[in-house]
Amino acid sequence: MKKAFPLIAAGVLMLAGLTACGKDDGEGEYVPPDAELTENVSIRFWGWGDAAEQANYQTLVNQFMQENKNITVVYTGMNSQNYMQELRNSATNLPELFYMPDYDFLEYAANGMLKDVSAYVSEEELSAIWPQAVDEYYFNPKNNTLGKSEGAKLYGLPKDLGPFTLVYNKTLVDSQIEKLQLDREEIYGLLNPNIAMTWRQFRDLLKKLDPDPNDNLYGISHYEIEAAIYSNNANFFNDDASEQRITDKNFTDALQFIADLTLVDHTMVEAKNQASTNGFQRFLASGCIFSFMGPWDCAQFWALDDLTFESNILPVPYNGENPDAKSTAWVGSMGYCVSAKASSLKTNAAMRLAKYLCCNEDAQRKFYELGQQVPNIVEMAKDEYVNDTKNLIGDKDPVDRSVWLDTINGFSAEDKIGGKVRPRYYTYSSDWYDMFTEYIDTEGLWTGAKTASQICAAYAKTFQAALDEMRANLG
Amino acid sequence: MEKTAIVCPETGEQTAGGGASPFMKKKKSRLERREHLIAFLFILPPIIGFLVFTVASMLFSFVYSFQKYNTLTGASSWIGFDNYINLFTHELFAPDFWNSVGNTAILLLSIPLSMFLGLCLAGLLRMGDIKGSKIFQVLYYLPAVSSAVAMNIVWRYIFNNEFGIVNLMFNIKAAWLSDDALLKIAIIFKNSINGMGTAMILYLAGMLNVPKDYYEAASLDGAGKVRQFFSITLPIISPVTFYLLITGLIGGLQSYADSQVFAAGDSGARTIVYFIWARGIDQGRYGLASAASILLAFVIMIITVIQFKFSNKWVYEE
Repeated sequence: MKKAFPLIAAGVLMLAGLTACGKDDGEGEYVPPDAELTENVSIRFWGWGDAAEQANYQTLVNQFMQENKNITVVYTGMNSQNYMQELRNSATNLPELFYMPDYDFLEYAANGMLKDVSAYVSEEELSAIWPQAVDEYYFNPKNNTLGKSEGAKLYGLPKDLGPFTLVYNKTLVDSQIEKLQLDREEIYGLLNPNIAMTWRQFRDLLKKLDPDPNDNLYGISHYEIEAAIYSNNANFFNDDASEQRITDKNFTDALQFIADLTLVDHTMVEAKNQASTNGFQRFLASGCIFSFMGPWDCAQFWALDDLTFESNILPVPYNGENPDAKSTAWVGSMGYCVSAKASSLKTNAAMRLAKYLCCNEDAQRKFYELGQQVPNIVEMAKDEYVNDTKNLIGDKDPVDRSVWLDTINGFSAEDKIGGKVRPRYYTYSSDWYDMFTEYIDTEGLWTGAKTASQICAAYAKTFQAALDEMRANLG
Repeated sequence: MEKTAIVCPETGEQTAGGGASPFMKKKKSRLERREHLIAFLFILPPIIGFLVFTVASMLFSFVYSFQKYNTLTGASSWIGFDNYINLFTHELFAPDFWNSVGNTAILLLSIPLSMFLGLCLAGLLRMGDIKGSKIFQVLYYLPAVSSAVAMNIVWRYIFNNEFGIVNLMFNIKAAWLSDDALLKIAIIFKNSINGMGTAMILYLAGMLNVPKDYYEAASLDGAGKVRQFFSITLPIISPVTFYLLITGLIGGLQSYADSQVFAAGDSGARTIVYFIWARGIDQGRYGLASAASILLAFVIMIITVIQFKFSNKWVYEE
């Protein structure tokens, strides 16, 4: 007993010490969200990106530390392929601030890994940035639902909002017009940033620009599945991701439209060659006229000294034969989230950094100048970014950046050009998507072995099982 | 002085006297104890590494294989054999698991092929008086000392569907990187070429150790080169064959880089270890991944035990 006494006493003292820390979690006195930081604090911030993006972030973080002398930020930039695995491995000791892609947000929020940061941001601050971007990071833990609604809390701030739209090689288009003696006005009449092409128009255009299926030039590198499905007013599942919709005619028509670009028109790269060469790399090498790109790809474009062509962006084509369809690209997003275990002091510091990166004008200006994103600040995006009023972009492509804004903006039924969050955002995990795309690939949709409706009908039961499993995991 | 014999009281064995009895427990000196301690300290790091990274990992895997484990919260619940049953029956995982098992088995074909090629090369270098044979040895062995990832990236260019050297050389348009059957053929070919260097070096070392007298005696008896190879060389170097077979099978069953780097995750070349990574680790199903890992370890152990069991029937021992 004599030996045990010092241990018991130490334990009691430790507990007393912890209790004395107030309502926080052992890192000192509770610091209210609106309090000024007077003591020194160090936080970890994890993100991903290529070397150039990491360097840009380090520059902005340094700038932030200059303006907030008592906050030290240890920034760790990673490769995007390894990032989520690293984050998952560190789940018990997450950094105070970290990137959270929209398609993993639900799993982390539902498991209580993210801090409710509603109190750290004012409505005024939020009102300046894209509302659809902010809404993505609301979550109601009571009923596990996403989006801003009664009882939902904010679990992150948007890093960006990235529409993935069509891009074309203008130099190649011009040379094909000249080489094939095409009607220039007719071609450029279709390449209109304000009016989306229908699927029929797009297929005809591809055939005109790429009439020879045997040469090394392709019409389009690949086709984004979501762009086709969304642009035919279809989806993988219903609103709460509880029932599959892959057997709907609109859905299978969209998949068949993609397959026919190769099988019927011979204007899209065959699946086997898509597997061996990345679509965007093929586009950069002038191996195709059309591809897809998001605002973050600009950095890569602009960094290439030997890029020999001009390019521009377009809204994605839609099914003109479906009266409910409109041009709808997928819009990706990433959030700045705070670890649920972060102390109030560190949360306060982390949110200052998050707000700086998300809402600060200088930071946002730097991001678009570096070709990384459309500014989060709506007014800045609509005027300064689109019209380049500060002359920070110059003559760099794409010229019609308004397409990205129209895609972000167009959520109402009246808008003919719009965007939609990726379907994986609505589900607890993303493996259903990988399984589905693998299945249609191995069953031969792209080689014509089976039609889209046959494949989807055969896979519907398994797809539903995947949705059921996710809902069971979500609880 | 005459030495006296000491007799062991239990066995009745005799030993020469004049020294310390071997039947008496010898008390270790301080110096000996010190030496043992130092020796133990030297081998301590690998022992700790083995205990932490192998034994402990296997134990954890074994436990997780009976649990549903939440990778984010660390919460787990016991679910009995569900993970094992799901591997074989669940409609979301079973098709991929069986596909991985089949792919792994087919890709093992590269082991006998690389051994055969290595044996042929070693035979040529040993029998023929080839100029610059050392250079050939280095060249053939080069893939063995190169990074597996780098090698796979190079091979991926060689087999590229559009501009790969193989297609250009034969003026064909084979989909090596996307057609399931061609993908497997490409991997088997690649691994056979990569593995033959190691087999060649080991076979060559084995051949150099065969006493020349045997060949001379066989020659006198009228045995030709071919007969000598099959009756003398091959049986004597059978321990090398045994070693290559064991290590090749273990390595083949644990193959991962082929699926991840060369095949870029294509289902036609997914191996069991890729399945463990993709369905288990990447998708956060640690329980399922652990069950597959335990099964794989069990299969490797069984195969190795069987091979050792039957090795006395064909492996030469002096």
